[in-house]
Amino acid sequence: MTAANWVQACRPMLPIQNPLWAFVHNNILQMLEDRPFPAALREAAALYRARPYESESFYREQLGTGRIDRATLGAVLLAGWPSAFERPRDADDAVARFLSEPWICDDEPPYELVGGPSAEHLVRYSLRDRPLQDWLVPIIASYLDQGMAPWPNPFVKEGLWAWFCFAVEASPDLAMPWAPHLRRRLKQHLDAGRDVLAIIENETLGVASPQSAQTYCLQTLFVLKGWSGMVHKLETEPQIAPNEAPRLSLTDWLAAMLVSIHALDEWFDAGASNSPAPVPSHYTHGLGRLRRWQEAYERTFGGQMLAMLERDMQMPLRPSNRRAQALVCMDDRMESMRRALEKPERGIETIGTVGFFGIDMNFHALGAGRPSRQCPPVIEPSRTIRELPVEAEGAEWARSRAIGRFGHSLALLLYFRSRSMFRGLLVSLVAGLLSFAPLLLKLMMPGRAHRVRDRMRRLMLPRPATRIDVDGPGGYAPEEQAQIVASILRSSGLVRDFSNIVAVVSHGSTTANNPLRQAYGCGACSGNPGSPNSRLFSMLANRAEVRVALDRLGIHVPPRTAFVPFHHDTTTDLVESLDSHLVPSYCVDEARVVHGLLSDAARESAVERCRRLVPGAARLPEERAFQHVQDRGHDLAQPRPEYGHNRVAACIVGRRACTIRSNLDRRTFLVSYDPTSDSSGTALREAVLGTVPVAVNIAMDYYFSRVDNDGFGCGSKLPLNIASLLGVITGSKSDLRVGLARQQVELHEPMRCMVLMEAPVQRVLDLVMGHPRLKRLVLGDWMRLGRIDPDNGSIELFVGGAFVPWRQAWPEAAEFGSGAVPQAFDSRFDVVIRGTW
Amino acid sequence: MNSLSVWLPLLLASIALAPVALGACLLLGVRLREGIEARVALLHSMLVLGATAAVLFMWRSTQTRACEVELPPLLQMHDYAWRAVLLVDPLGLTYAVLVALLYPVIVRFSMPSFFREPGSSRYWFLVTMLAAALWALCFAGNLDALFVSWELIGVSSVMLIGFFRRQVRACQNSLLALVYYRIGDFLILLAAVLIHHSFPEHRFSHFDVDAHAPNALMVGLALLGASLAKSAQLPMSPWLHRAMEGPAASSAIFYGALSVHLGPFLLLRTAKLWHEEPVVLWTMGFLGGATAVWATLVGRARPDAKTALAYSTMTQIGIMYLELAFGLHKLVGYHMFVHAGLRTWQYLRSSSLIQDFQDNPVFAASVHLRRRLFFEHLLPERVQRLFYLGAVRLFWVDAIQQHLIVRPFLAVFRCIAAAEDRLLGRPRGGESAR
Repeated sequence: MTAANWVQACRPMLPIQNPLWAFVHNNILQMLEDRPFPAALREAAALYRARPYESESFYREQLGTGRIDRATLGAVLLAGWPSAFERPRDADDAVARFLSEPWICDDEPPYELVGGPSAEHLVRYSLRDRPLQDWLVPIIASYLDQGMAPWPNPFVKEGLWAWFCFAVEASPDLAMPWAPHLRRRLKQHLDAGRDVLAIIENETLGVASPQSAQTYCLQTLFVLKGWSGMVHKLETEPQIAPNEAPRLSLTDWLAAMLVSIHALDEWFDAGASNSPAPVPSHYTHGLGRLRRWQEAYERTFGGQMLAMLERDMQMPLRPSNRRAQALVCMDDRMESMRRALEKPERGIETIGTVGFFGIDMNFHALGAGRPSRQCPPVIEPSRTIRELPVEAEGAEWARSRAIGRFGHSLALLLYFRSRSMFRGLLVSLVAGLLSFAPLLLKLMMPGRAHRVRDRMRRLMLPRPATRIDVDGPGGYAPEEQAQIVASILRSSGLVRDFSNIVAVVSHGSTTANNPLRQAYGCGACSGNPGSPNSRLFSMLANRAEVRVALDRLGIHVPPRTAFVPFHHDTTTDLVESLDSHLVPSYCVDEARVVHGLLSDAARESAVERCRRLVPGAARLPEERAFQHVQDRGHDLAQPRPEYGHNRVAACIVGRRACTIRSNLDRRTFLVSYDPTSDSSGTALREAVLGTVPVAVNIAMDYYFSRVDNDGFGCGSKLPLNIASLLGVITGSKSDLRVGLARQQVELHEPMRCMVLMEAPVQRVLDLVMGHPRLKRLVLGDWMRLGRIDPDNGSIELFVGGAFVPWRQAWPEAAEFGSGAVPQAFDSRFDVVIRGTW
Repeated sequence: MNSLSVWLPLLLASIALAPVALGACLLLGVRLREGIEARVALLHSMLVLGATAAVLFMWRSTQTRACEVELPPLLQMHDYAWRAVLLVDPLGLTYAVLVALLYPVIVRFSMPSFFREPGSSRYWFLVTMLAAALWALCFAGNLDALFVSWELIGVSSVMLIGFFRRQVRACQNSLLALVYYRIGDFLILLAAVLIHHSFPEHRFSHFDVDAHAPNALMVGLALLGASLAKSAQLPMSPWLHRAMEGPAASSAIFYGALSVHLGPFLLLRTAKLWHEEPVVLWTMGFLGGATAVWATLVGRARPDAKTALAYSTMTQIGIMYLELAFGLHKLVGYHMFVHAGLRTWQYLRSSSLIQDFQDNPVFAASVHLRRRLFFEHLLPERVQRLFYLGAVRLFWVDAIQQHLIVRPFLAVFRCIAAAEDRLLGRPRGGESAR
């Protein structure tokens, strides 16, 4: 059957966002990665009805502020000057003509949508979406609901199509002006004895040619892209549903959409002739120019970063008196913390690695309802590991669990009962008066209210010391445990010169009232806090058996070295010591000192972050800055608890020595890798595969949500409304929104990720060309690849299939004198947040 | 008595100052620096809080239950004077305290969330106007004074539904709310005209005497009708869930708390007039009960956070109408107060639900249990399903209104327009919107 093939071909093209409770950063155009970046963007623009680059006015503004360099723009223009236009004299002339003649370089033809009434519909989308959404959104939202509505959909066992047919047949004629059309259309199909696939075929071939039928189906599904993507997601991965996925099939949904859209079109165009001529999508106009602007924008940043790195690598390294080492996540948000830790007065050497520390597990926390995924989205968790109370405290745990369950049941009870009739009356009479207390406290002083609540909870529900059941059934075998530790140590180059304390610092984020909480967490732990991983990693690395096995693998960890887990909250900048009862007695004091240093560094990083969060923060005393970030994290009203990965633009894999002298201003992922101790390239492989794809995913997710927040992202946070417990809609009824909110990406500078690896040419090429996805990303220009030579520190860029010295590739790039800060890293040129909040 | 008659008008004027100033800036196109409006609103909320406390204090020191302040007449003809009257009594004070408690909370909530939001100046203007209007409404002593505030609250409500004015749906829904509000406003105006026409005394405090005046029943029914629109009771309900287009903060203050509860407030205010009219009581009780049942059924099938709250609010207000019909006026006052607090809290936290359910380990098991417990499982399957479909589709209440009222109404005007075109020899204008 052809219709089945069409649906199958549509599947990978749909939005891939998970239900929000399991949100992970993705390149939202992952399905188009096999095409070059500009081609993929052109098609995506038509499908998503969104502008795939920033606007012309944005780029012009950047040109004005110098964020786009005139010379760079000229070089970009000259390199790709279309032959149809008279060749400019020089770069200046090219820029001048580009700016004054808006048709110049506009050499990408608009993408054409398949003809038929629905294409018309797509073009005039804003006029006609309302009746369609009014009809279809309640149907699909109530069908997919995961437990928000107390009344479950009675059709969940029978399927979406049965529910759709029932809704069409049982609705009275006056329900909608076009209800008779819809009923007639469906009845014709059912009378003809067509099944769902036959209906799709019939509806599609009525308006599109067999060659374009599949594209037509895809464009139809994209009319409500968020819901279509969610239907596909829950059908193929039912276990990702927050509660229980109903019986689902994308075929049913496509048929329902086709029948509804065509009935609506029939009503709208009663009498008008069907026009099967293709319609150009106006979102794809002028992409040729925007592509060049974007290129120049990225190249300006890249040039400044490389010039700065090149200059700084010539400077002498500061002598350090190292007190401890810290193994931290490669996250760009840790960069400011790392700089603070490395200051001479703290003297902590930092090593960046993947924040899940190589432990690919699902973690079932004590008392949690379900396990959480503790590894990056690009890796499938291999096992589920439980957290158990330490035996001695079992009885206490039983009591506190009973109280906890009672509290949770009460919360649910209040949620459902306050919405019913008579019980709602009782709840509002009793709980209503009490609700003024949290209302006033939580809003007026969020940070302090949280502390009080936390203290009360700890008094009432003492949380027992727990252990992670790694040796139990389904855990890691002893040799695997050694493997995990060895692989992280080897890939990050931490194989010699161990200090007495190695802090293993995971990170997470505290945000309140935030449907997109997962987007702020640790990307390497799929948005969950990384604390279980740092606890488990330290526990494994401290084991005597593991140490013996490490010895055999050639990594000699001195017996006095202890791995101590910590957790850093990137929103509130608090550092918590984990599993303190497991710290060996001989280094308890030292661990306490390290905890103090970490906390100090986090405070310093809080002050640095405040610069972008609060204007005039340079004058803010440290204490106030620190209190401010606390309040931000717990504030119900705060749409910007922290700035997440904003401005991230690069990923550098190499020794920290290459970057330690530069202030990278939280713009880069920093993965530690020591090329000198890795002759075979396996360490590079381990260092890159867990990090670079994640970095690209994050950069692309931010890129798209930033360039057209309404099309690729989910718009302002203010009107968002949680639907079906799966995602958010705007206002009372809309498509399920995908992507990030405007407040999350406001400060972002949208660019593709620039990846630098400090490794010999052949090793980089072997790795990149041998890995299918990396190869696609590099050859399709989804990221820019460069390398730093491990021997002489020279930087090369991958251009046209080979590495060339970067100044040869970008001859126009400026040089910076010592002490000069390139604009891209200078906070004075930031998008400044004015005002008080 | 004396201090109130001086201070109440002064306080009222000072509270009205902030929205007037912000509105003037908007009108004149003066762009204030980011954060200035928010600070003005913060000060304004403190002023409202302080003024409420002051009035409360002065009222206590008068040792009377209700005291009236007559403002200078706006219009004087022979022996007839048209003036606004202010009234301070426990009911008005209760509502004023509610306003004074919730308004600062909403302002505090809006400060970070409206930071850098395009159009935030509009929001601050509208929310300060709402607060000033509400405060004035609490102390309105006759229907004329009340009408001004009532109207302003309606205006700010409509404008905030359409706050995201680039979205077609937001604009259409705000228009819909406007239509229902206008019906209510018309009924209040009708009541005011009738009061001036046939009542010996127009002040609320004399309504017990007026209850025996000729048009008392008509006035009672008109007031009931007006209150239905503001509180989204049947048949004027369909706008409330559509009002959820606006930002969460405005949804909370309008539709969780201060604006929707004005219906019961108006009825309590005028209770002396209608509490012995069986027709009013029966209508009130019937509509309230019907709304409660309808909104519960519809709300139970709503799968999204904010409209589900809209329906549960409607349910509780329906119950308040029932309580009013049974004469439980004190209970209504208390119910109104605590319900407003509860819903504000729930609206403001409505974005937390994914987080809450995710962190709640008993969620999955408990939801299955809860979902099995309802009565509809007793019904035959077909009926059960029809009920469910009905609930998802609001039992077609809005469609029926559209069909029976809006379309004939529009058709008439279209006919008139066409006739005019023909008469003047103009070609028919573009295709009229459906």
